[in-house]
Amino acid sequence: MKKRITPIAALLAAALLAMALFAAGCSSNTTAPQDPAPALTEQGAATQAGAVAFAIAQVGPEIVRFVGVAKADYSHTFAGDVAGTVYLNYRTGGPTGTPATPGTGDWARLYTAVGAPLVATVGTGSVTLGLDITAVITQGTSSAVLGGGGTFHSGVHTALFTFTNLAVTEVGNYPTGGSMTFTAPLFAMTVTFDGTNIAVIDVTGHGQWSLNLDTGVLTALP
Amino acid sequence: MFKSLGRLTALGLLALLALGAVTTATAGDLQGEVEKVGETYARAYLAPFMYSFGPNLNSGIFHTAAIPKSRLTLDFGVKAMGTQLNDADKAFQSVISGVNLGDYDNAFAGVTGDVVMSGPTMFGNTETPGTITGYANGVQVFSQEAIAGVLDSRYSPMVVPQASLGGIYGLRLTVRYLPDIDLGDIGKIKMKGFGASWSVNTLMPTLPVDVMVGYFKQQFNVGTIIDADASSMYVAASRSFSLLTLYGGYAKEDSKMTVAYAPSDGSAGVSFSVDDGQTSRITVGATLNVLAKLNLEMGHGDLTTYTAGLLFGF
Repeated sequence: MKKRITPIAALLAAALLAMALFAAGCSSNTTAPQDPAPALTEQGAATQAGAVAFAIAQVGPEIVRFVGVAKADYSHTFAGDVAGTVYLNYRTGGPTGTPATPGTGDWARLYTAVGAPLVATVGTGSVTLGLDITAVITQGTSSAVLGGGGTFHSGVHTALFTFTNLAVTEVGNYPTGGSMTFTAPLFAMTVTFDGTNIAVIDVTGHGQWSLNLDTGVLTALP
Repeated sequence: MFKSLGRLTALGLLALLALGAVTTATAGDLQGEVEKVGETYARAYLAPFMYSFGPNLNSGIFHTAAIPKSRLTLDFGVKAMGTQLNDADKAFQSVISGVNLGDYDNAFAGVTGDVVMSGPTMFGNTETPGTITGYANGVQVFSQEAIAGVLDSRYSPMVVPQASLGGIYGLRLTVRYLPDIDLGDIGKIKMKGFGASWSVNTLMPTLPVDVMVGYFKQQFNVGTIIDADASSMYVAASRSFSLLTLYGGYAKEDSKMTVAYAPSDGSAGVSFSVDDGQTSRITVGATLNVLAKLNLEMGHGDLTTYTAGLLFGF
């Protein structure tokens, strides 16, 4: 079944066919498993929100407790259940005001550096928190009202959280009011604080849990 | 004639040496890595390798459908295959939910949670190891380092020596064979394959193209760790234009690979198989006959395999 063609034509045809084969680029099916992250349970969602609430109860008051000489950015390193470094920036006259010291500022920002989140240990687990919190400070009463929020990571789990009117004082051990909204895949939660060592976590549509801010222990409410 | 045979022998030896060196290094690395993990991780880690092995073996079996009725033909050389992997196959993630975390970390005995195994597959990043991470109530409680890839590539490669003898009553016999290569602790690499093609043109000489049907069966072992076999039943057609032969075909194929090993942590031996891989393919290719036969081919089924062949003969 042979027909005569020149060697150059044969080479050209071979090259064209080879290019066509690669250009066709019929892709292969996937063979390796690509499972989605494990689904959260209500208890799991409450535990994640609780971990952030537990951490903020320790970190938040630092805005009004911090003492330092005048400089552009201050830093404070936590150790223990919450570990890592936060940076603080104080201003007078709001976020666009003039730089101030911790003793004179009426506005502050507390944040973690990119790639260096806080690590909070809750029970046997650990989570990392990236924070970017702003605060309106009342110097006379050494208190502040926090806003802003941050990001939550624990392995494959990620979530966002924001603070609304979270009130902290220099002497109090726990936020005296306000709330945190925690948004995880499938669940939305609100954590409310009342000045005691117990915060209440409401997982929208799935019940409530109480969080002991001293120990991080979570208990389902009836 | 003797000069040609000498060239053929040298080419064959070179191919076998290259194949032996590559396979020895890869098999050694692979076994060393896989022994560090359990079955679930190993299954996911090896999936692209195990699913591409059969399609590789079943590639390049022929490079023309022309088989003379009564004129002896012989060719001998190597076929190099590469099954293209999906981009996603460079990494994997396997999730096991509701397990006793103590099975993975003694410190969490009795704690029920989820385990996420993720990282590069055998053909993924060779620098960054994967992880085995445990979660209880949505929070990470442990993370263990696992293993890195062995070969960072989008292609699962294979090289096989191949010889064909044809032209007897329209039949062509094809053989793939590798002398045993001793890999020491791993054991021996063994490979053999054989099959036959028959020219339909012997019965229907007026067909406008060459047509053949055939069957090919292969076995491949690496010590006791890998046991694979593959078979292909095919129909193909080709047309020659002096120096160039264009061909295409369709094949029903089957393959199975079993991996067995003893984890280095002393736990019970692990054995698992893949036998639900690619079952059919279409093939298109071209063979250029200038001194030697240079052959390019693409086979497409569930996976796409490219094959290049270099064969000498007459």
